[in-house]
Amino acid sequence: MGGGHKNGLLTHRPTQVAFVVLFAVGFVLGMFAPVSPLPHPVFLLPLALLLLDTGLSALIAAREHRTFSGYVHFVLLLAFVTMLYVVGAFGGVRTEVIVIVPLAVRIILLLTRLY
Amino acid sequence: MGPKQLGIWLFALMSGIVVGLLVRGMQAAGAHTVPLFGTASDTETRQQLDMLRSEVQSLQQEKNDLLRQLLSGEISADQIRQEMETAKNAAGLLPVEGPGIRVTLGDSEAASSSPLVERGMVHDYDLLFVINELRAAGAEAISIGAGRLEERITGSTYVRCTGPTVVVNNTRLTVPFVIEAIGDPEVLEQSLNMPGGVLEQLRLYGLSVKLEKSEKLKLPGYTLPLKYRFIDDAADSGGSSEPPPAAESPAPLKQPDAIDVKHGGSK
Repeated sequence: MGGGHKNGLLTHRPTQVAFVVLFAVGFVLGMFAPVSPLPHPVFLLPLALLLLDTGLSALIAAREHRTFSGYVHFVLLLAFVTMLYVVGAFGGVRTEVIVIVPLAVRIILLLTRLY
Repeated sequence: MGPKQLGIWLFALMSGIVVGLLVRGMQAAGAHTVPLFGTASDTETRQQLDMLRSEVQSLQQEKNDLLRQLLSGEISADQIRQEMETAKNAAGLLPVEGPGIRVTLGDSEAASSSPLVERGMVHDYDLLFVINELRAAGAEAISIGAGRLEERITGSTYVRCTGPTVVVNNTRLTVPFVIEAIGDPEVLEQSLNMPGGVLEQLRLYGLSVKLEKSEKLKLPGYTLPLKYRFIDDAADSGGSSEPPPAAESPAPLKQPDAIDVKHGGSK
């Protein structure tokens, strides 16, 4: 996922194990986080979709042996989603419709490139 | 560990945290019946809904209390109706009938050259004296006039001379003034005829006074619209910080030329 190199690490077995372990650790941390500062799902779900999009894009880039910058991709998506939030707030469109649906469509399109 | 590997691990940890928070948030949303997705407007709508629900609950409680009172006999529709009729009678809004007396007052028959000629005419205060005496004697309903222009005396009635006539409830009346009062005829008659009483004084001025008892008098109800701009229920206003309701515009008073004239004669 680093900047500008071919992605061979994602197919490396120890890296995959470390990935799964760290994901599990993060999941447990998230599950046992204090309730009061818990962000609303309306923010968490797009963030999760952004991360999933970044991961899938990195995976596709590794399969296609091309360069990919995860940071740039994530920041780009974040800016795009923020813009959608602003449009939704000023236009009165519900967040589910204007933010989550486009992200879901994009992820489905990414998934179709894996098979 | 290169920067690329660090990035992957960071990504894995962050993804795990976000997914964990998301699952936790969805669980919390389900536990509190809060919609999974919602904006500020949704929150306001939900608060309004909660408020309306509590109001509905309060009204249902009130309805149940009233129903319980009704079924247990603490309050009944007849009781409410009776109280309302009592209030209307007290306000003089209903036509009533019953035994009582009829007092007819007219101007003096004496020659107009008398120095007391002014006092030989029936004035508003003469009528007010009679009305006050009747009330003191226990009259339950009083009216002035006769026939179509009979006017009921209520708490807001005024009796006032306007030139040769007397205006009562915006109706212009002329002599003879017929005052009818429902009550105990004997008591009312004795009260008016007592030595030094109001009728004796009026007779001294030379006014024509005729008093007769009746077993059945019919008095009309007060017909003018009742408008209150300033008074409020004291029980409701206690401790309330709300401003009083907007005052209604008062009922337009009849212009003098619109006042009905009972008889053509002058006083």
